[in-house]
Amino acid sequence: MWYSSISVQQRDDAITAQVTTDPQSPWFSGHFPGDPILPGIAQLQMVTDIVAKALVMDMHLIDLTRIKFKKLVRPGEILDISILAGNKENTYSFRISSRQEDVCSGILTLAPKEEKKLFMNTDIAPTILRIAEIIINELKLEDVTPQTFDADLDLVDEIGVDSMDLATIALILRDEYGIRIDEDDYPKLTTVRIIAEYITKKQAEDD
Amino acid sequence: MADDRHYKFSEILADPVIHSQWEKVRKYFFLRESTYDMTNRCNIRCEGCYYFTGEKQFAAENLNVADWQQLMETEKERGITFVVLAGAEPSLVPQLCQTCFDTIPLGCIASNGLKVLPREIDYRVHISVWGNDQTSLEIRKAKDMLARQMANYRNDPRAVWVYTFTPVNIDEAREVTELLADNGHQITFNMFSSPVGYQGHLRHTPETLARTRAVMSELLAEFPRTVLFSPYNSVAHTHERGLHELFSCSYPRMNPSTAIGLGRSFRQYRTDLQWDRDAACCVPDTDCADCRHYAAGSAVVTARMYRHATNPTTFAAWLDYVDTYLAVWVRGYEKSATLCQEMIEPPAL
Repeated sequence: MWYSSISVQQRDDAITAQVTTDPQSPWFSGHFPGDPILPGIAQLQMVTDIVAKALVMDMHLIDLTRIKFKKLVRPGEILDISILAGNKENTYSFRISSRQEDVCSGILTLAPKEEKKLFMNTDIAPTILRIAEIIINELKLEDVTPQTFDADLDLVDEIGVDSMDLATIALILRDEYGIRIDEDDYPKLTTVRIIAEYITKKQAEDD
Repeated sequence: MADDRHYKFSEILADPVIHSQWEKVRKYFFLRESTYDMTNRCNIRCEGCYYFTGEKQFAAENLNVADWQQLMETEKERGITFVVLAGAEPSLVPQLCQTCFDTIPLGCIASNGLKVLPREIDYRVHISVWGNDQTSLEIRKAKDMLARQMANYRNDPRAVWVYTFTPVNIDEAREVTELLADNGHQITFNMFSSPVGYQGHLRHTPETLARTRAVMSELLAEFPRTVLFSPYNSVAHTHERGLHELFSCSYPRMNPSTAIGLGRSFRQYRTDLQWDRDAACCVPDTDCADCRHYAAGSAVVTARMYRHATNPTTFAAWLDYVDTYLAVWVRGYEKSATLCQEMIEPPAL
């Protein structure tokens, strides 16, 4: 385990926790040698674990939105975590801070692990991750990973995607998912989530 | 012949020649253009002139360099990376062209070439040709146009001549091309596209379109270093169906969407620095059904990458088109060898 709980408190729909990171964790030795920082995915897993513990259920992460990483986490750092249940079932907004400075925030959607098989059929999270990966590669975006890419960001206004970028992405998606993306539909494909939903719909139509 | 097999994009790019060309042209996908009428004056008056048609010619002239500077800075902020300076004759206001260049360093100036632009304005310069000097005298009322243009732009790498084919000058293109080739210049081809309401003798017919295509093909084959064009350019611009019908024009005038691409970013500023979305396209007041304009194709055909990525032949033709577009419009871009020598039919949507 790369962290230890110092305290966890639950009140109604809110959870607050304080944890400390383990300097000996393999996360730090590999990420990165000589410049250790805690990866974003490890931070998100901490939040997931805390919610699961509070609910006394084995939960796993199925979706991410509006994730923002603002500060690096170093070995041994003490982190304050606040989590609030959202209006939609199994969604949780969270904030991690260190010495009053924001580290990370966003919204997670979790699901009980025993329902994983059910979600595999309808869940668009893998598609979202793959689309994010394609966009990151094609636009050569830095400082972002598929896991940290906000699926609800406006691709044109907030990422700077233009029609030629979108055409390139559409061709790669055509290869990967075997669907045709109509040129007239480009204006509708404003976010990664919407593209994922579009693909899912097209695949369902083709079946 | 283009085959009917369904290709993945990755399979098309597996061809190393296509892949190399794709990587070359995609570096320029950042180009986002807008166009600007610089002055309402011109030193000649040509029959069928696009500028002196419609309302834009009556816009007040703004010669204030500071206002243009501010406009360019605003344009840059909203993402414009390529400017096209046109109407009526930009060389009459070099101080404004210089201001544009100082702020947005990629662009092109459409000129009749009778007054040389200062060398410091390092944009591409498109010099218009409407036939041999005898025809130019008749249509443009200017003597020795080609000779004067060549003298003004001798050894100037900015210059590319734009030969506008009309039904009455098709056979003169050879004479002009030979002369330009002898003097080490380059030429590309444009098609006369009727202004709204124009029904005069310069409007193309199926027969003149076919003859033009044949001449373009001959000149491209005979003068490959002089002629910046490709077989697919010939097809796209001499097809009986105009550019809009073939490719769905993406300029705001014909495209209501403001979500992405030209519909979102393109503006056509008049001399008073105002623009009107309903009239915004590369050559306003052109009859859209008859539009085969080279500037229109440069955006409209180029934007339709997805529908051309059906098989290696069709995609190679599209790459030739984009390569030609970049060679004609972007200073310093060197045209590659043609990948697709076939005259393929444009793909349906």
